[in-house]
Amino acid sequence: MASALAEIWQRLRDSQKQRIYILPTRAGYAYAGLMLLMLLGAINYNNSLGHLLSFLLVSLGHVTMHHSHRNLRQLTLRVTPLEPVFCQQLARFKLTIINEDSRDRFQLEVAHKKQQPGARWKIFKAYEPIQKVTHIEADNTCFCTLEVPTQRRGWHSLNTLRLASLYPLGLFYSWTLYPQTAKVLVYPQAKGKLPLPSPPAGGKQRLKGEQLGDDDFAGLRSYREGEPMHRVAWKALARDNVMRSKQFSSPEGHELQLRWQDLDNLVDTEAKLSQLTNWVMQADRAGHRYGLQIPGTQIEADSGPQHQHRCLKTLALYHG
Amino acid sequence: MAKADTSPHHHAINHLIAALFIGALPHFVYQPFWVGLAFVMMISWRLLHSYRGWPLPAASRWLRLLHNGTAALMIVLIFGQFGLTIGRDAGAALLTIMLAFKVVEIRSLRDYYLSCYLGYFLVITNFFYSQSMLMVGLMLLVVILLTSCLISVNSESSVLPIKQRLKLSGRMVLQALPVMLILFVLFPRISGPIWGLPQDAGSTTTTTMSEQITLGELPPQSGTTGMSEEIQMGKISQLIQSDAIAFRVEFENDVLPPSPERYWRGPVLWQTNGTVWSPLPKNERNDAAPQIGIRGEGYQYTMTLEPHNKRWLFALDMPTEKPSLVPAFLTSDAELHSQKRIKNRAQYSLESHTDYQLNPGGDPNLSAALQLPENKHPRTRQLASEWLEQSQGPEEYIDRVLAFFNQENFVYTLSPPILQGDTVDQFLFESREGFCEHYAASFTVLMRAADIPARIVTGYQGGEVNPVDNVLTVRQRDAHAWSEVWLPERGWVRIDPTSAVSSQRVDEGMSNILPAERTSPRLISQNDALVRVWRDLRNNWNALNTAWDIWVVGYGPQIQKEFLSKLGMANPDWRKMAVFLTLFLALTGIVMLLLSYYRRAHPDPAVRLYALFCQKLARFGLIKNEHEGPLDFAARAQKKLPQYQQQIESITRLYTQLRYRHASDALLSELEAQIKQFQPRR
Repeated sequence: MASALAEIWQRLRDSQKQRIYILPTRAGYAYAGLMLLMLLGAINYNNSLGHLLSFLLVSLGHVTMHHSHRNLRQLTLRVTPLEPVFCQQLARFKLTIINEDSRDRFQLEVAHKKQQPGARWKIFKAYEPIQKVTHIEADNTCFCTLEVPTQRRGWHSLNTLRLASLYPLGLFYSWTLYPQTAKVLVYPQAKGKLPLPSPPAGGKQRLKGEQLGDDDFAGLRSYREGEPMHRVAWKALARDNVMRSKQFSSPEGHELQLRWQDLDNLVDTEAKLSQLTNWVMQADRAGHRYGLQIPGTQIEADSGPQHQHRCLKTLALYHG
Repeated sequence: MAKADTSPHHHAINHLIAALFIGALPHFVYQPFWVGLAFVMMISWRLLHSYRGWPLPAASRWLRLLHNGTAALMIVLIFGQFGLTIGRDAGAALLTIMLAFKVVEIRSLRDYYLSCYLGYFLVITNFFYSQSMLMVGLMLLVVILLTSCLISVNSESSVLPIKQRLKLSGRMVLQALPVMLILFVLFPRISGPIWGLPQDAGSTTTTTMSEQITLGELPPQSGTTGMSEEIQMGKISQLIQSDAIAFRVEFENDVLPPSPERYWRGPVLWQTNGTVWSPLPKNERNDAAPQIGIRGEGYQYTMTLEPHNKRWLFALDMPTEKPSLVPAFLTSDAELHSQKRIKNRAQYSLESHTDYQLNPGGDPNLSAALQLPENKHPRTRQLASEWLEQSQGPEEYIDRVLAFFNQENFVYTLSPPILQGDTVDQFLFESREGFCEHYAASFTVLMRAADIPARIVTGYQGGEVNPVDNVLTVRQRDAHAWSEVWLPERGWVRIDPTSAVSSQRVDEGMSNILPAERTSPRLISQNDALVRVWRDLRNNWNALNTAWDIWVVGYGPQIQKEFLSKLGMANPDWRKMAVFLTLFLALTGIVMLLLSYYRRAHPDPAVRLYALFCQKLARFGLIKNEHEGPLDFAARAQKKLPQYQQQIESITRLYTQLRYRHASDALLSELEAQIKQFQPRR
């Protein structure tokens, strides 16, 4: 008995760390009005069982509050960022909700704080629902993916997450906030119409059509998500059902320098970054070795996904 | 707030309809038939829409017209039936019909909530008709059903099927009971009405379910049956038909007066026009307080009077103390009068003495006790003067009259022939079949004709004692009328001429005179053993109902005070109640909070054993993080307690095997043994 009480006390203390807010909904206020009306009627008619019903409903409202509160507490959230995305694409996070209680949870709404919150007092408008979780079993975990639109390059950090619920009766709206630090890298948007710059003079020049000769084929490697479809080794896939991508080694002299100063006719920094991003993508697709030169940073020519990511990250985090 | 206003799923609507139908069931009995008909028609419309895809009113202009038109017609019908004032019946009918029409056009979540709330309200209107235990059962059922409807629009049926929803709402209602009881007992009761009652509010709840069956045999009449201020020949016998409870009496220390002394004094009648007897009008009476002399021990008792919408209070003949709790006074003719009309069940404590003398020194209204209509009852007057001449004094004259009733062929009957013409003469000399009121009236006339002041007292006689709780229940069928004559030095003396005709009526009470079918069902009335079983069952049931009526249904400001002082609260007033209410609510709140943090034992015994293992390690500061796997935790523990490396690994291996591969009893007992053995020490 004492140990059970101590355990309860410990859980109670623990749950204080995660504050849960609760407010009546419009339906909840209407419910309160109904109870008041009923009680007045019961008093007026001296109806004892009318009192009983009014008190039952009052008490039921109170119980609902407890249930509503309980539906949100002892939940732990884990957010893992997924792969980098380009600006305007959806940044994705893996959300894990861990139910640490011996009771099932229902009808949770995951919302995140908008990047540009409105007026301070509009606490409900500041959040945007992004995911619905209908059920988490007792002592169980639920996984889902959060998708958040991106507007700017650089680190996109997930704002505070809000877990909210109207369960069980819709009379109370309870919510709890989880500040987040998880962030996803957002590359600049790949756009711009300028053609890929030509290799520096003195090097061997090749025409575009000749860039992918058979002799450039360097081998197969297991497929990584995001690689273009035309690189997939379909024949090999048909043979043993393993997805691989063809690797090409660019011969020497197919070395490109993607340079900031080549873009003087673009005024806007973001436009320049977008163009450079587009070039990086094109060069990688074409299998060139390429280097990147932007103010403050210079990356030696290289190829491969690691190199591509390094370039794109540099572009994403560029500070003018 | 964050609620999308989408239309609820039709499953949710069907469940709501089922809940509302059950909640409205009693109204099909209390309301005119067309209310029930409209209700059933409207919910059928919605059901046909759900199951057969019939169009709703919103689908076309004609259907909308039909829906709105019928609704308007219903409102006209309601006004036609009940008049323009919205009383209890009209209000209940209106609510029932509104609800049915609303259900047909539920389009949004808001409509759905409104219908649910109206459903809760429908339950309370049922209580205006009956407050029996059955109704509370119905209330709980309907509240559970309606609550499950609210759950259904706030969850998805795929994860929370109907059975689960009902279970949850049942559990919620169960959890709501403690606070409900605290509020019921301690919430300071105010005596209503706050804004005045409609006309029909008084005719509530005096009859419970079982008694209504007998009531149905009466010619249809509205309102409560009860004593009326005047008697007309043949009126009381109508009352006799009713088994409705008039009042209940609980005697202190279970000291009951013998049954021939159980006269329950009510209105006193003085004036007569030959057929109708009525009380002395206010302007003609002298309101001097009555002089009452008493002898012997009194009886202490508590009366619980059913509302009769009149001012008088019944009391054991003769009340010698003012009642507690109900403001009342004793009139000059020893009638107990309340200051207010008894519109609700009233409870009061009294003291009475059955051995008493009333106004022995003279009565200011004596002349009114000699009044007789002129030129009426010639044969009766003739007889009176003959006997008076032959008698030595009033006592002998009275004996003569009683002997006349006793020895002539007078018959005591519940269904006397209808009297015409001079009722007293006709009764005394021709029909000679009558009932208490006939005997009391003709006796009083005989007295007055002989210049002996006399009057009629109405009330009840007898009553039934329930051996289970020793509560004496007096029903309408115990209604009685007797006479009082004023004799010098003795004052008003009660004389019951009925007992001269049928001593059984007074000695044994009414239930022995009534045919057996009135007291037990016809089917078993031939079999004595069954009748006895039936009587026991009935006694227990009646005792339960008595307790229910007094302590639950009758729980008002008065009984609340009494109950709380019985519980030990000295002089309960609303401030004290509020303090205790807050205290108890806070206490239950805390208990509920703690209970809600109680963690149910994990269904897997392996997990429970492993928790024990973790507890043992926790003593060394090794606390397993919530999301640390058992293997990671074991590695950490082994680093800290290298000397127990082996045991930790073995336990962890067993546990993971049980938990993630296959569970077997052998492995489980092995784990149990190992964990028991594991006693780490530094």
